[in-house]
Amino acid sequence: MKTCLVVDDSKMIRRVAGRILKELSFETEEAGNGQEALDHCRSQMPDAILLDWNMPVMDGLNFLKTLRKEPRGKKPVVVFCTAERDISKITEALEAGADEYVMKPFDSDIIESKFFMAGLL
Amino acid sequence: MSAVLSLKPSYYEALKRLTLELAGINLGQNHEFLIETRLSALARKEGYDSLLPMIEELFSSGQTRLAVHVVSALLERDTQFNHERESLDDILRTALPSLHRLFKGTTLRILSYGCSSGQEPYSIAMALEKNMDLFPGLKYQIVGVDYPSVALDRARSGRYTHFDVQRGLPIKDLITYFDRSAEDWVVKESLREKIEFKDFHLLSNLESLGEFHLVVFRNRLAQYSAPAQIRVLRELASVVRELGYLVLGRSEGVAKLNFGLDKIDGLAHVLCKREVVVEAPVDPTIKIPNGRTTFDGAKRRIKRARSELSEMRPTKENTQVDSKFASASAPKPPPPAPKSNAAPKPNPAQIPQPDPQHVRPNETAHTAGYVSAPIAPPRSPDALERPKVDLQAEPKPGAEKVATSVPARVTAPKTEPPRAPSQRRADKKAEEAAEIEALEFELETLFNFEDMSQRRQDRIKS
Repeated sequence: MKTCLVVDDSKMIRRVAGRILKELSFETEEAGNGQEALDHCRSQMPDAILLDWNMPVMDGLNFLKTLRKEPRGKKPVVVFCTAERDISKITEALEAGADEYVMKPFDSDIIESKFFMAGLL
Repeated sequence: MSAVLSLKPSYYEALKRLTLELAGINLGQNHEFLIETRLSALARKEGYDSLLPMIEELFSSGQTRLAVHVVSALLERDTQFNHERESLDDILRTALPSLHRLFKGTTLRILSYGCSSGQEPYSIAMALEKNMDLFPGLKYQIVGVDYPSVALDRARSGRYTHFDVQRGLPIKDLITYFDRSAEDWVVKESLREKIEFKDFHLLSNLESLGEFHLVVFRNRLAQYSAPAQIRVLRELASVVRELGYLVLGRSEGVAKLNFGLDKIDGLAHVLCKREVVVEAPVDPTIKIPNGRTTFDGAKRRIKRARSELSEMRPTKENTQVDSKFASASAPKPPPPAPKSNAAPKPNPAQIPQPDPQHVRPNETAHTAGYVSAPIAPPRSPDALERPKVDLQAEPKPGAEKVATSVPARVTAPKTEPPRAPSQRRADKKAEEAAEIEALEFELETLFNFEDMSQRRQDRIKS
């Protein structure tokens, strides 16, 4: 079973996303901000990360840039999941190393479609 | 559920029949809630207080326009970008390379049949744009057709919600081919101008749309009733141009009816239209280089006739009988002229010279007897008088024998000096040779004409 780390400062979002991912046969872990997610990844790298942009301590974009600079280990598939809809923001996320991008609000079809396009299903 | 439904069960059945008759599509069972939801929205749009008055008016007045709108609303599909991505890949892998090679320089016409809200034609356009490096110089025009509906209006506008653009559309394609407009996303003008959307009754004749290099009709076949499936496939096949393609859904095929289409690379859903080979009209004067000449048959028959003739060479007995018959019979037509120079040349003093005006090249000897005279042209009245036989003159030795060996009409005149037996034998052989040759020529002409005539008849039949 593949593992997915859900990184969002909203507990509700983490819970909804976790439920959808479980239906897609993922084992899920949770993190409330970028720093927590980075610590988790350094101890155990997941197969996929569903990542919010705006979070306290460390935002999603900085987390992603730091993660992609990590020297060792496997490279997880990162799917941004954010309310940011500007094309400039989306481009910035892709340049930082995001594989896909989900715009909130989302439903199970969107998560499934994006994970499929990212090669996770 | 019946508590929230406003229509009587008989109306649902009537609506299902209407959809089947107008569109050939069977709505199936347990679609009451779908009918209620979709038609309620239409009723509000059409200005009715509720759904019931609209349905009552539909079935009492029989308005065609309202019927089409009702059926269109019932048939609206929820589609998404890059639906069944594999069959799009099949198009790029099989159909496009062939079309690009065969129709280089021409604008490829692509039909998206039953395009609904337009995701399919836009997906095809994006797939082509992304692969332009594989198909340099590719020009294309996509036509999307479906029943007139709100969905088709949305397709024309190219405007989609953020839910629509996140189903099946990779984020890189979104930012490449769409512009953000408030909360929605709009297809860029550069892509929209390559796609034309048309209102079209999907069971009507498609001739007015013209011919297409590629027709895409995916995952809708099963909705149609069996007769409507055949009708739709036949219509679609008729608008695919030669060596063009019809692409169905991956789980679909044309089964036993091929409509002039062949499967490609073992894929049941990618079908190529056969090339119609029209044979050019054959010029009957041109010989077909088939390894044998038109004279072969005639030559065989001539050989056979020659062998038969040689078996019938004159003996002393039958010569005498025949010459008696010849001398007793009525005047015969003039003997035909020999074809070859090998024929013995009669003495000009004895046989009148032919008038060249009256000699036809194919004029041949009469072949009723086994020995006929060398062919001679018709004689002029003067000439006919000249070779007179002096009956009073005393016959000379050998003259009688000569007279019996040839027909009376060419009997040598009495004044001819007697010939030696060896000379007579030589003359006789020369006569036979000339006769065989004349016969050969006659047969050859005759059979050659028969061959040509037979060939012409065969050609007409085929």
